[in-house]
Amino acid sequence: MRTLTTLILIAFISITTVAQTGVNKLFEKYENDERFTKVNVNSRMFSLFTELEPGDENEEEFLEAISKIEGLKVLSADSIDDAEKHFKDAVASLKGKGYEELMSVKDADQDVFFYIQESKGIINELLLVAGGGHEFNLVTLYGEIDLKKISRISKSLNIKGLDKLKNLDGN
Amino acid sequence: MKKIKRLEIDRLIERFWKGETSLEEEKGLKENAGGVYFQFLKEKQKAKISSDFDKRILSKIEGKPKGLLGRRMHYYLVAASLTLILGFFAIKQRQDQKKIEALLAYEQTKAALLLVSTKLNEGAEYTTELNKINEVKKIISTN
Repeated sequence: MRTLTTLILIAFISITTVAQTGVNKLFEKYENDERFTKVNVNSRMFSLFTELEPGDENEEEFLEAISKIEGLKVLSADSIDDAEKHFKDAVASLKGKGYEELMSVKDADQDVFFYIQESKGIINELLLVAGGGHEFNLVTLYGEIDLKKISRISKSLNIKGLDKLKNLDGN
Repeated sequence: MKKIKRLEIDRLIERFWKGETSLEEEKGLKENAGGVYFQFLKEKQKAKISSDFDKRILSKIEGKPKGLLGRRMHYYLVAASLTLILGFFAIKQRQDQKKIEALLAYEQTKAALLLVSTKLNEGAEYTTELNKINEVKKIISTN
């Protein structure tokens, strides 16, 4: 029984490590590419968010939604010519890295893939890869992810996420 | 100077305290230092203060530290106060910097999560629409 538990634990750690390595490699790949905006918010910074005073109820709801998130990484570009190529490369490099496809949306403008890392019914990582036209976005959230709470964010703040993403540029 | 014998001195002192001596006899007593009182008067006449007495006393008073709050201690206190004030401002500035960084990271997190949230909802809407189409198709095929 103990051997079985150890094996399961090792398998879980290996899968998580492989998945993290896959994403990290992607971020490393674009590290010196100035066309891409890179954002890394770690757990220390997330803990500082709790010290910020919420402006209104929506902010409060937002802070509640992110209370169990431990960090996030963003890789974003909105005016590149080879956005589709970067998107395809990213999706291809994530295959076999222990991610489970949650959802994919394909429309005329953009292709979007959602991947998750799950353990005991809890989502530990949520990964978004979106590309098309001149845009490419890669967002990874890690910690304890509640999809319902995440989906409520755009409704409560009533702002288009894509428009808001422009704020990332130049920061 | 007229020398007076010991017995005569004692007798004169006795008379002096009774107030019976003449000025001449008192002068003689002072000169011969008869008794403690006249010895004191004679010594007092000899005692002199040097011309730089005041200067020496003042330099000694100013030169010596006044206990813990001496001149050097004052410098230490000023230096310590300045360090404390500068330290306070440095900590305050660091805290402000941290707050600015946190606000910036907060805005970036908000933007990133809005993107994720919007896309999640878009996907969910498509799924709902597809389910509706499938339901309609089912109804049509059964009829």
